[in-house]
Amino acid sequence: MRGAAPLGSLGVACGAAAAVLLPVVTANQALLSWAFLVLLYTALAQSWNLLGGFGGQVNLGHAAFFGLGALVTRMVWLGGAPVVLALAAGTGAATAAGVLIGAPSLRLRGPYFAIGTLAIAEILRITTGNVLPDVSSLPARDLAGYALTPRYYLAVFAAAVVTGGAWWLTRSRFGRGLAAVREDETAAEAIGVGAFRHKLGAFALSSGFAGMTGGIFAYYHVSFYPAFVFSPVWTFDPLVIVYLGGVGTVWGPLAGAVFFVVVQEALSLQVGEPHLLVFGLLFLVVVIAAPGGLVEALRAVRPGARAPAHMGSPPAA
Amino acid sequence: MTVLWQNVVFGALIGGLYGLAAVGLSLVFGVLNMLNVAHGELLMLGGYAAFWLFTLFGVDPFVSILPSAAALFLVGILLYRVLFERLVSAPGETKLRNSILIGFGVSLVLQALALIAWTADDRAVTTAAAGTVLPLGGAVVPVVRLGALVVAFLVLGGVHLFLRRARFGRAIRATADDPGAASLVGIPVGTVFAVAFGLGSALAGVAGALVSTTDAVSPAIGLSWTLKALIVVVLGGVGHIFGTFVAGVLLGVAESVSGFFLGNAYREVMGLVLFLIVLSVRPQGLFARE
Amino acid sequence: MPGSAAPLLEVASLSKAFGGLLAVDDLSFTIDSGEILGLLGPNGSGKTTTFGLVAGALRPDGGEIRFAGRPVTRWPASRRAALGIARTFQLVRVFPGLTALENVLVACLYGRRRVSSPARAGADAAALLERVGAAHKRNTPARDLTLGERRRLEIARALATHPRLLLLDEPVAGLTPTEVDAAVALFRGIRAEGVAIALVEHNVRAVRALCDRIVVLHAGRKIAQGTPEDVFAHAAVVEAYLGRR
Ligand SMILES: Nc1ncnc2c1ncn2[C@@H]1O[C@H](COP(=O)(O)OP(=O)(O)OP(=O)(O)O)[C@@H](O)[C@H]1O
Ligand SMILES: [Mg+2]
Repeated sequence: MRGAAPLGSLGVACGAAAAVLLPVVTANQALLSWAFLVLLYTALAQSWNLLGGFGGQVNLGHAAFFGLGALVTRMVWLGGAPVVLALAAGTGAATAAGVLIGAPSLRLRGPYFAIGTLAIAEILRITTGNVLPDVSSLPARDLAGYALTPRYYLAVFAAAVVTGGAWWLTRSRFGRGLAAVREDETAAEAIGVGAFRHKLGAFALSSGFAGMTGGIFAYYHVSFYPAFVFSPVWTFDPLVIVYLGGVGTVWGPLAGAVFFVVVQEALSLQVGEPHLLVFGLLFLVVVIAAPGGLVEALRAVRPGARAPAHMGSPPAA
Repeated sequence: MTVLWQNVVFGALIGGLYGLAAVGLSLVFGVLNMLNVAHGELLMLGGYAAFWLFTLFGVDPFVSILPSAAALFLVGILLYRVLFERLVSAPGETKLRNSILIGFGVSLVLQALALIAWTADDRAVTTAAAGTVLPLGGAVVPVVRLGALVVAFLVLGGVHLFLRRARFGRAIRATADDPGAASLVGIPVGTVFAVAFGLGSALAGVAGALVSTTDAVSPAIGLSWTLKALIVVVLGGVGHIFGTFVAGVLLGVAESVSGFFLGNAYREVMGLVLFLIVLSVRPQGLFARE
Repeated sequence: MPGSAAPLLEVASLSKAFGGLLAVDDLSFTIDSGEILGLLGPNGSGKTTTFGLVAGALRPDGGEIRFAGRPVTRWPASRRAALGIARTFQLVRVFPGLTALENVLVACLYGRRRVSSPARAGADAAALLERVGAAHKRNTPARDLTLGERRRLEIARALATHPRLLLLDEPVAGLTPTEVDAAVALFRGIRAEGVAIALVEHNVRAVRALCDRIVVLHAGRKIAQGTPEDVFAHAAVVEAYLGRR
């Protein structure tokens, strides 16, 4: 155990350095786009994980917050504001929406939160499609100066910040309280943990980070239909990634994102979207039989490491 | 004024199907404390059953209700035994959470299978009665939609009678109240759970067949039906069949009336607004007794 | 102004109904600092419900609860815990996915003291596990502990909140006689630190050994109270209300 921590920090430092140096050592745009996608998915999946994995609240409408962040960022940015300001606006809008939907639904136990989030995402998607039916494209002046590298660095930043947030949850008082709420709300309340406040706090973080990720997507993408950023795939992909990688862990979303993007590319040439079927089946297998996901599988082959305490292990049949 | 009235009529007609879709979901939730978010995909399968029976053999979808229900009953039992049954003994919050996750996985798989088997095309059933309408106080009522509403109502009446009068129906209700006590008095709780899940799925099959008479069926329709059903369950409260049905009609009317006043772009927003209001003010649902 | 003579906990005319069933019916009692009060009664007489009301897990339909001079009747459970009410559950509730140490640690970080540094709380938590005799299981996930170990873990977790009042709901049910003796010694030690205890227990030996005063419930109502001698002297009480399960 003693050697594990320095080794771990070394690995993190190397990975971070590689991510930062990538645009310097290669001009291969395809590779850079690929890395961008992995980082974007990492950030989005981890943002889901903050509440879903660490807090045990299943958000079925993460796309709502990704989409709001994307839409607001895009509008503010194309309106002429600096992109950083636009991202802040997108993040803020997503956080506000999270609090708005979380305040009534997280107060209650039961299925209300899952239902409320699913509802807000679908309703925003349909309404956006109706109100803003036209494709949003970058004007010519922006298109001429388009460079992938700054987008890539924003994605590095997002992935790092959200992963850092997850790491903070494993260390801090708030994170410990959140874990208690996830494990047993009644018992958590009985030792002084305000369950609602913790869930709402985690949800605000989660939806805010989802909005930031959406904003980066809006900055990256040349043209898309506004309704597309609210598509259920922005909920379902991160959910699948989190579980495949390892729910409630710091590195699961990264591992899952790499796996997800690789498999999706490998299967993208087939007809009929078979990757949907593959991911659906894999997801079920993980939820039912291997709740630790990839991270746990990797850990199991490294001797001497302690399995993390995680949620969602299936009760014996 | 007539346009508004027409909106109300149409809303009520479609709302009956919301209600029917919701009752199946609510039944499973009430008895098992599991939320099957693949309910809309089961409905989608029911719609395809009716579509193919019509296309290949010319069977009217109103007749296909029976085979569709039977097929979905079996699908439900299978899903329950293979996937959901393992959750039965878990504590409440874990059970609910994991049932949502499993349901989510099932919905991905069913969607993918439907896509591979039947492509993403919209499928529609056009029977001879499709164009026929009846007048109703200045509005028109398409007979097919009216038929769907009536059938939905009759099916729910049947389910209601079954749960109240039939021996097995009472066993289901007793199990929903208190599985421990039910098993003590000799009710085969395991079978009850499986049948309840099957029955909920069969109701999705019926709803799917009815939906196919008026709306297009495609692999992607599941999510929006799950959503409508979930909102209706929250509005109506769990465990009240007719309350749920009325809540469905109410949601349908609220949607089309708000579409009339705010523009069609905003009709879906009404569902969310209603949902948030009910959640803040009356989380046990509009029609719950306590 | 509540003086030092005021009781730590004051329950006045408390009522709670489930549907048509009055689980707690116009119940009043007090607990002083450093006192051990036994709450006895047959199955279904409202003992656990009373604990739920005092700890804030349940909302009363009527009545008042004052704790440490504050009216806490409408407070949520977490706020009452921060004021010094801790409890264990009749059906043990640990955090199953967390290790034994993490279970106690989180209670150190919240509760009445709210230790802010997880490092210092770690030392406190380890000491508490030691105290209840579960130190060797510190890194075991709570779901893998035996019933006896989970009971002790729950007590360590409750103590980690630095309570002024500890509600123990059948803490020795299902334990071996040796374990019961150890638990009785532990509760004495807790009381010696000035913590008041309310004890629900069917084990007469433990009740006699521990309680200063006893309140007997029947169908949600208080039917007797007094010293253990007084209460147990009523053969009727023993027969009818402490009976075996
Ligand atoms: N959440 C609840 N919903 C409905 N009824 C309840 C609930 N909790 C308790 N009851 C009922 O209230 C009454 C009092 O229950 P309580 O658990 O307080 O009794 P108790 O004295 O702790 O019994 P035991 O010795 O069996 O633990 C019982 O009839 C019980 O069935
Ligand atoms: Mg009890």
